[in-house]
Amino acid sequence: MRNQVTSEARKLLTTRSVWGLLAGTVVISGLAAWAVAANMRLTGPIGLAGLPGFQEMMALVPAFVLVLGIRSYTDEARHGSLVPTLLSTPVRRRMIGAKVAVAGLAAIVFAVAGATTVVAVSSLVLSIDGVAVTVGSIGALIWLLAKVVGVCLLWSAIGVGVGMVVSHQVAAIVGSLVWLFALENLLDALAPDLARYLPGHAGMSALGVEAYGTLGPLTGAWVLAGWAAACLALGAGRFQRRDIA
Amino acid sequence: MITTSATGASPPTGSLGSPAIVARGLTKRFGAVTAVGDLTFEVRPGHVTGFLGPNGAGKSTTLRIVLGLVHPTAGSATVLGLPYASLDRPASVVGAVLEVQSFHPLRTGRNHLRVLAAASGFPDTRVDEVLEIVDLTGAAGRKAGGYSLGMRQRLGLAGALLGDPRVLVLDEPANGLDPQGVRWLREFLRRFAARGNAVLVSSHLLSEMDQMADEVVVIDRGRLVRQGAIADLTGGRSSLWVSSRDHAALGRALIAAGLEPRPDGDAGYTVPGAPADLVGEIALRAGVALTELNTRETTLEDAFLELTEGAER
Repeated sequence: MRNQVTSEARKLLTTRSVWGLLAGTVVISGLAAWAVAANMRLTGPIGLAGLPGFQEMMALVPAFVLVLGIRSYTDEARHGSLVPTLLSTPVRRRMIGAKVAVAGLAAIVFAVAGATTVVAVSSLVLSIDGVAVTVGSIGALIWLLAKVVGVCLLWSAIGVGVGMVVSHQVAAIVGSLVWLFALENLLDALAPDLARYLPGHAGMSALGVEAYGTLGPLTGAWVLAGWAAACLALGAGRFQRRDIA
Repeated sequence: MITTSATGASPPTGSLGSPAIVARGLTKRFGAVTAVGDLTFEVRPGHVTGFLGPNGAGKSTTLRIVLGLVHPTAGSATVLGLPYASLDRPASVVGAVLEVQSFHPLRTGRNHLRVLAAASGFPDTRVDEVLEIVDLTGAAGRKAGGYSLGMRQRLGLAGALLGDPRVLVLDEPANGLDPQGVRWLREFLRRFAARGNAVLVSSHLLSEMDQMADEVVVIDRGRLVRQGAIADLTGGRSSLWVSSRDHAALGRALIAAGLEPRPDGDAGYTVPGAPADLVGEIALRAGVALTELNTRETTLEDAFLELTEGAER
């Protein structure tokens, strides 16, 4: 399994797309942090974990992680590298495990990069406005980061699963983003009690975004984990039976 | 040149005294279409075995079943005695090239091979060795998407050789190669087999296969037509080639005499099983002037066309 993980990591690091997604994460997180922090009316000193709107600023990072996870499989299906991959690793569940592991590791990096950007940009903007930003409670800061990392890990697994179910790359990415940013909101307007259990809403609840927080962080995390397990199970089942013709 | 350098690979399972590849009753249906039907054949070590069949005969599907990429509807295939997916380190047992495009186009050739090497636990030094073998060292740092067709074939072959395997499975490996590349491939495969290894290679280039392979497996519409040594298929037999400026009249005369002429180019016919003097007499009686009449050894192409004759494509 270690060989497969190394191979998957090399796949990820030897094309530019991963760096583009990471750059996108940093830029979007930075812009969100700047927009929120610039409109704050704070006076007193504030700890990092208490930055207002931190969770909202991080809300777009899972979308990048989702795309990363989807590409983990669909890149191979699209370019034909799935054949040599399966010739090296004919036990398919091993290949899936390696993809989930590497997408998860990348998700941690994305989460930390996004959080660091948000903290850095917010602190800079607030400092310019004369607000003193302190480190504050380390425990609270770690908990905040843990939530972001956990949610991103689950979204990366959902991405790998979705990629295996819908192996057409464009369809998988566009479909997922439309679902996340349009259809879920539409369903929220029509049936809010149902919508809160959908993956996008559950992820927001897990992050602690108040507008979506009807489930609470813990339940939101469990619901999102359920979606991740379902997507992986469905994707793995289809992939195990698929003929690579 | 092929190296036998250590790759950190454990000894492959199975014995080369027995068949390297065994397919037993392979059947694959895609819906109502039977791509492969009850196909049984063996590939022996120490030989280059050609896998021949018309387009759509089921060659690629069969190779993919052997390599565990396609699930057979019925039957089984083993490599050195085991199903492919059960091989401990498959890349050390079998090297395979099935598609010309089997890499991310934005990844360099070297990185593509490093990805494959890592999956099987081979060191990066082996990547440099196989690049050298296929003469791609100079282009290894370029994005593989910019490679020519021939370079892509050689990159695929480099990937297949990473584990210094004992069996090679190649699907149309000569496609896109220039004449020097084709010759290099032929000599490489023959040397590879001469070391006691097995090669199963599909190709539609019958003249090339004639020079490359020792044995052939001929399939048509998913079913085995013939397996055997090329010499057995072609040896001791000859066919007559006859041509005339009046191509149509010659054809009519031969058919009227009960022969079965097969058009061969624009001007002539191959007439299997007919003596030259008989054909000469037929032409004389029909008043058709011949421009050429000669006997030639049956080639693999002749044998292949005979075996697959009548197939509706």
